[in-house]
Amino acid sequence: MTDVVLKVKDLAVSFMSELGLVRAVDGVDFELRRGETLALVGESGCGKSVTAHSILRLVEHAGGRIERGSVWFNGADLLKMPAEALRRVRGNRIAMIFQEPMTALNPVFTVGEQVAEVIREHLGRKRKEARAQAIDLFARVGIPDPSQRVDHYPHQLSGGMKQRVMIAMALACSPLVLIADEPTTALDVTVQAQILDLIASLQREQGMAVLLITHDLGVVAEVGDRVSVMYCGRMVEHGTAHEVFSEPLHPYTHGLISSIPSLTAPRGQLRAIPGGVPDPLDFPSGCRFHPRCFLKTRLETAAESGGSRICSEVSPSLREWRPSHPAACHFAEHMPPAAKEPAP
Amino acid sequence: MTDLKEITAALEERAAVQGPRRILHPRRRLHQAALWIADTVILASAAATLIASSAPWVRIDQGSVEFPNFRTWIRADAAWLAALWVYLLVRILLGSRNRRGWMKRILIRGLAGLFLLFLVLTHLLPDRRPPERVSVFAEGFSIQAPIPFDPDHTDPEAFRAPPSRRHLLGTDTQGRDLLSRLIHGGRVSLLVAFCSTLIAVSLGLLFGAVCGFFGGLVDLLLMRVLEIFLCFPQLFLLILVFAYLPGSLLAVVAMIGLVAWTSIARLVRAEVLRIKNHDFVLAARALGCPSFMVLIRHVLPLSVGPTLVAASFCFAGAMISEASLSFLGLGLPQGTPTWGRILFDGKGALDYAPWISLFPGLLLFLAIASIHFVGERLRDALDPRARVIAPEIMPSVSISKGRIR
Amino acid sequence: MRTYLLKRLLFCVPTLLGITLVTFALSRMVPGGPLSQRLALLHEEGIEVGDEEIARYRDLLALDRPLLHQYGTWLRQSTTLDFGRSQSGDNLPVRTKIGEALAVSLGLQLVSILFIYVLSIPVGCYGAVCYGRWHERWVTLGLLLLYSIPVFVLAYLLIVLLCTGQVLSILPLHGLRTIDRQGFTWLDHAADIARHLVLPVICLSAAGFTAMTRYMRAGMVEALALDFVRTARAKGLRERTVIFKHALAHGIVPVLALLAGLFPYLLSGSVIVENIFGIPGMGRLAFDSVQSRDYPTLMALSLIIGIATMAGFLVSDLLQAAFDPRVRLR
Repeated sequence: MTDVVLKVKDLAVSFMSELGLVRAVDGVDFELRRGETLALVGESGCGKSVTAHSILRLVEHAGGRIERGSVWFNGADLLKMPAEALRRVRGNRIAMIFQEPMTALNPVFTVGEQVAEVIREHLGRKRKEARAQAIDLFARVGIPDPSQRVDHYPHQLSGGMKQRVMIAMALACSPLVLIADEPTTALDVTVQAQILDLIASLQREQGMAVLLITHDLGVVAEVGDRVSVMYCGRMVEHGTAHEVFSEPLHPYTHGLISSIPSLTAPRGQLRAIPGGVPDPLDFPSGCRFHPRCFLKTRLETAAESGGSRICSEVSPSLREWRPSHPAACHFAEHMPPAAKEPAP
Repeated sequence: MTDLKEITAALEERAAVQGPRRILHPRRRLHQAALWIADTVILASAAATLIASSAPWVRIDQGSVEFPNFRTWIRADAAWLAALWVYLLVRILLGSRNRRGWMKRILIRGLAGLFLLFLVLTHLLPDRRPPERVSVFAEGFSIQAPIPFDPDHTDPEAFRAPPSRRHLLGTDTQGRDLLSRLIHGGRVSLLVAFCSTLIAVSLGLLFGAVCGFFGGLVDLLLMRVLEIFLCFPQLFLLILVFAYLPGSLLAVVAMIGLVAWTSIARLVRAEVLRIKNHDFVLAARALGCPSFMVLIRHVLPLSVGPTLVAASFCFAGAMISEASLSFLGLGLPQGTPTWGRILFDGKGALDYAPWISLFPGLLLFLAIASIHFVGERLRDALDPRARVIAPEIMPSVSISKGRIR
Repeated sequence: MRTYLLKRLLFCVPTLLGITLVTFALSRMVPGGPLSQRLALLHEEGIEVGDEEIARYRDLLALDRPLLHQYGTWLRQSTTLDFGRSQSGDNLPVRTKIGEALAVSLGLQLVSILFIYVLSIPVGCYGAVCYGRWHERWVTLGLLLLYSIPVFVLAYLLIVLLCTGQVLSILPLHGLRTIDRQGFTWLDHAADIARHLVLPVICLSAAGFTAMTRYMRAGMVEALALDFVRTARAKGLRERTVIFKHALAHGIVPVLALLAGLFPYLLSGSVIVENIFGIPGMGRLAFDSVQSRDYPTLMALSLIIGIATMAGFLVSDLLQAAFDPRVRLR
């Protein structure tokens, strides 16, 4: 039994905005195990980034408020830790890389300096040693000519290169967990593949656990060991990548997977999930997905209308419909397998 | 974080539309106070002849009724009342929470009538004030103005008198009632500030828009011109000019406007440069929209917000410039009472009659502080980002004992 | 960096040219012409001027040559610092008068600028970091009120409070030095000047300080919301490092840019402050020259102030480039 490195329980984060209270994350649970890659999937605005930022309590500096919940790491609750102890965890035991490498690096300092300062801070090395170590790290993440690059400024590097610098920065102290918030979204597809490979190989080397936030199912299929699907601030499904892709239990996951166009199947109409993501200020009652749910429509027409009324009244909790494969749906047993071909 | 960015984008859109309105809904007492001060000053200035004059409102003398006060009205008074009407319009209509259209329509029609009345009055009234007639108080019954002294009326009994019931703010070195002078002085100060701001904003807007929009060589050249202007400090340039020109209202207004346009020009240029790079400008161009139209219909409306904020600070600055000029004894001709001038007159009497300088100073401070305050609120209203990352949010104290900040 | 410096200096040339042109144009715009001014002054003093003298003056000022020639002559004279003689009655060479005033003004400006920066950077950072807390709101309000007091009002307020003895009498009112300076040691001289400068510096810096603090605060608030600050926090750096290394490096750039605008602002302010406190600096010289219609001095002052301000812009741009490598590429 692989041990659990990071455990998030009932996390809820909200933002106070002009227009009202936005509950970006509303009761989220998941676990991260040693050496594995957990992919946190969902559309833009579903709260996955906010979740990632809440683990290291970064969301508070952006105006978010952690309403409740706990994040267990190494025997302590990160959300209740004193600031100084949390600081020693950040960058050291849990590292994070972000979506936009363009803006994530400070333009007035060299990239070498930005990596070296992590080393100096957490590992207590002196300047020269830290710089040497930074050059090493650059070599490890595949930056060519590292001893030159170390003195370059961020604007002199390409997007892919900058993301490698970010990874070097994250790995500097050999963390137990790497949180990657959409690390490849802002990059070209070819560079994307390189970065994902890099993360995967480094993960194998160091035995790190990776929490990968993404909206790209292709990325998930490639590197994800397990998958957690989020919708409107709530978890709707957990499982291994294989299970979730071949036999999704939640209608939303089903919709996502069915909407992936296939190169090989005969041409037809693309399957989209009808409707749009609801306004975060005004979520539907009960199950948040029910206005767009094909399963609900199907059940209603199949004269089991009495049953499907529950969808708009009671919010479903995660139930293990199959072993280790929970889904938050009242009628998951009626789920058909994922459509491999487009609609005729 | 995409979620945060989306919320911010939505708010920004809303703010661009509602922003300026929100300053008229004060939520804090200070904000309210600032608006009241602005209201009072404008009201007092507009009604100066009515409320601060030696000529009584009504005189009933052995059965005949006359209205001496109205006899002293001139065109400037009617113009000021028209300005008051415009101000009330802006205040009430823009600021009203009342969604029902009919009340607004009645209000507009009623006030339109008043406006026409003022226009007519403007033509009927004389240009210059008739000389002050020595009023004979003894006969008949008269209702005096609340402050029954002309700004030029010297009271032989009270030279440099401290504040009393008769002269609410005291008198100056020549025995003139200070309160009356301040009220009439407000007119000049406001007029100068307003007109010079108008000039500065027009010039600055034109310059900045052309500079920012066309870029390239035009930008390069015009920026050199701007730099030359900037190299001469404002007040210095002003006093330099008044070494050559005789002081007059027009000269003061023109010069302050010509000196203050630089800050607005720079701001507008920066804004235009920023907006120019937005996608919708590119889209407009791609649709074949000529440059000129893109500038006027797409770029300029978006830069109205920051320009308005800059204009409000420019107004305050113009007030200070005018006061500084008067304080140095330059600019406006000798007799004109402005707040700066009154302060200047009281400079020598600080030891034994500090109120002569104190009250104009206080008034200047209050007026400028309120303008700045409203300007700041306006700026906040137009920039919604400050609100989401806002003061109202409390970091969750119940969860973490130590402050992250 | 070198290319940036060269390019920047190149841009100074047209501006410099413009300044000299404007000043020259003003000098020839004197009502009645520069010659008649001179004659009128001499006439007032009862000195009759013969035709020969008039011809000599005309020649000196090159008035019968085309304007371009006049400009050239004037320019040449200016580069050798020959600005003629003051017409304010003391007939001193303008160069001398300005020299004396320049030293005093420069000292006053530099002290004020130092004062402003030393105070506004920490207060601005505090304003950004504690944004929204109740104590910060009061401080910001106080700053706004300070910003709204016109210079002369503040000056008189402080004078009444601290100089005249009605409340306190701890600071001198007028001038740069006490009159009776017998037996002063070197330290006493320094202390004396310092005491006299306290109020002028405070009045001069007040508005500049509040403006700078607000810009600092705005710059820091913006910087603290940027992505790289989030990265720095996620790296586990101390909050102190995050704010004073990462955020400040970014937030301070606009404040350095403002150094350029501060210079002319202080020069303007010094006209009033020097007038009130009787400091014999360039501001007072300017004002006195205006009063006495001393055109040669005024022209020389305009030129020098224009050039000094332009130098200020240059310094500020260079500082910006030193701090922010992206500027060098522009």
